Amino acid sequence: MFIDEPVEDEDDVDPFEALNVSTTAPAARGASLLDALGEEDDDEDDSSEDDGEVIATLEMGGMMEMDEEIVESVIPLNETGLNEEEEDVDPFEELGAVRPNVIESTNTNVSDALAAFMDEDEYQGPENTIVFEGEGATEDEPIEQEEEIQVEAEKPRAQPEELYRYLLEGVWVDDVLDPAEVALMARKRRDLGISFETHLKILKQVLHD
Amino acid sequence: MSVLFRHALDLAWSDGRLSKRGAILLENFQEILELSDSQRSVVEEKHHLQVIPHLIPRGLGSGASTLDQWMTSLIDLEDELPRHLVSMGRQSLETGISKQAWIEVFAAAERMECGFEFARGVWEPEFEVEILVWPEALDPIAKSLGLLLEEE
Repeated sequence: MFIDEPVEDEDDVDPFEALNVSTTAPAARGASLLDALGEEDDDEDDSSEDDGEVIATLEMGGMMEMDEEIVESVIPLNETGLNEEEEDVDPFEELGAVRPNVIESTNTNVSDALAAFMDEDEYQGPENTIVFEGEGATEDEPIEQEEEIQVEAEKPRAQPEELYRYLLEGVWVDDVLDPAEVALMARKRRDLGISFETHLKILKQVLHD
Repeated sequence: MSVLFRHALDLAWSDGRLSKRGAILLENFQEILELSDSQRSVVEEKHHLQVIPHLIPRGLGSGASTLDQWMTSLIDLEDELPRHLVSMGRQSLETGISKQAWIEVFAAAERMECGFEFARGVWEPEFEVEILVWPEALDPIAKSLGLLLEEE
């Protein structure tokens, strides 16, 4: 036995014990405390499904150090469920918006499109129309149809002279008029129902433009 | 328009000088063609710049007589003028009518109240046209249409 070798003495009094002070390292104590806290959370998750209790714990514990108003402004208290799984949290619901039924509409569109391809004549599904704000689709539909009919009815009246003018401009591109071009223009006048007087009027416009 | 008045100027200045009679005849011709002063000035200024400087004075304005004869024969055409213009229009189409020629001659034909006839000769192939030998009074028109060379 050496002098330095510690000798166990039953009479020796541990000063830490005497003073009721823990001899465990602070880091180890912290870890054990965290473990204990974690166990408590797990127990709460497993046991309680009441939202109110959890919120009350948060408020009473002041863990987030936030005012109730701020918490409510971010997430409404009555809609918050800490015991719910995160996958189940609906962002649309959280924001108070109506969630679009994406799956159903997609399926409908797909089936409608297929139906349209299979038989266009028999297809009577909903049309994909864009309705802008302030426009009532059902109210304006008859007016739009009337306008379309009017535009279609007006088109044939305005078109022949414009077309003839376009052709007449092309005739002078090479700066020389030949019999073939004149014959072509005469045929076009017949086809488009343009009189010779109208031809002269358009010709003057073309040459003076 | 300018085709005919340009020819009138050429005749009036043909010996290098313009007589008083020649000037009066030009005034009369302006009225016959119903040219405005501004329209006349455009033609006359161009003539003064491009033609007169190259003229050699060799008379006392005898061109007035030539101008008078030409004006008389042109006016005398009267009923024949439309037929000749239709014919000239068709002949010009066969040789190829330029845009500038069409503009000039159609304007002149309109001044002589035969614009529609000339246009039919050019633009209506179904319209039957009797090909005629044009009178000398219409030589300026024939030159513009390229039917007659300048030297001829």
